Amino acid sequence: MRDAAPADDPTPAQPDDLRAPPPVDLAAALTQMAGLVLSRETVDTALELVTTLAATTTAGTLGAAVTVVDEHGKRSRAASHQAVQQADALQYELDEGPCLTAWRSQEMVRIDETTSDVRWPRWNEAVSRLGVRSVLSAPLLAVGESIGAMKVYSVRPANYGPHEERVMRLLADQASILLANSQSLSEARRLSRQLTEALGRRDAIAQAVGVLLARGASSHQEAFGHLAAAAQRSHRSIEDVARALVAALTAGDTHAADA
Amino acid sequence: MTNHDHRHRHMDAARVRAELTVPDLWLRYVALGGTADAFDLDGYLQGLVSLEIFQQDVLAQALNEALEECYRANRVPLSTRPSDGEDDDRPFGTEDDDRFRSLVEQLLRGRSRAPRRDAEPPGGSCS
Repeated sequence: MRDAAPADDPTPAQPDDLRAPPPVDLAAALTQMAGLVLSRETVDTALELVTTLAATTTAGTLGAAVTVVDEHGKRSRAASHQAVQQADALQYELDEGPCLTAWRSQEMVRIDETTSDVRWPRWNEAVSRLGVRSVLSAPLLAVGESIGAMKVYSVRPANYGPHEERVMRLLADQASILLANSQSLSEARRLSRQLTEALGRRDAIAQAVGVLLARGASSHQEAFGHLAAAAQRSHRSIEDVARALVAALTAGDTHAADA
Repeated sequence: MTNHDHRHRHMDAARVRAELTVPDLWLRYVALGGTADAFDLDGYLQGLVSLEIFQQDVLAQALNEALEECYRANRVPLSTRPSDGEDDDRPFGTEDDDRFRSLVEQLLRGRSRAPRRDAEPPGGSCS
């Protein structure tokens, strides 16, 4: 070890300076995320329960499902019947249909007879061939934002009226809460990834600080200051300097020390 | 002390200029070894709580790096690329490999230990 702490430095390293910096409080964040990850199955199961409830409490219903619209696009979840999945897929494909309108307008949409309804001609024609004759679709709202729609399909014309609209509104509220929950899960995943990256960078810098302390820097602060100064002089990030320092040490220690 | 009294305002202005949210900035600050939590950081930027000088310096470094990235991302490339080695349009931290290597070796040998300057106040470089 050449060039230890400068002799004119009157204050030798205090034990306090050598103490590890207090850890970042990640435990709470990670525990919270673990809870959310566990609730993923819960969300799916509960969503299926809600669509099953919608299908059974509205008499004459063929099937029910939820349409979710987010940054990944439009898709169906918890469909209780295959025809429902097909009818939904047609909406996304044609980019028209009651659920997309319910989602966009944030209002309940009802079709009493697909063979005569003129609002979504292409979709109506396609689903009437699947046997779907009437539809009720309720928007899903989370904190004022529209996140999708929940719908029931029936093979009978004019199957839905004001009573079914009330039931659907109540169930759509429950589905919205569940979906808002699972969207905060993907937010938590993003945060988890960012934290992991941040910790990797933090490790690299901590290692370089350790190297400089072993080579005579008098404190953590001073070692960080050296790294920051080198970063500024070379127009690099402090992480680049730290990684290069550790790499130079492991690759060519003798060469560096002799030079 | 006036300088330090106003430092938090300077830092918050730099944060806005670098288009960082407070949580984004906190992540960058933690990555550099900062130890204050996100609430303290937010409070400091609003002038409500104080932050140790060293923690302020770590924060200043995080801001300066973000400003530098922002500045480089906004540069307008020329129609003809400059000759090799003179290209200033490369992403942050890819130029001058040899100079950088020798700087790192100096750092390892302890020869570049110039007395520490006050961390440069951030801001102004990304306009």
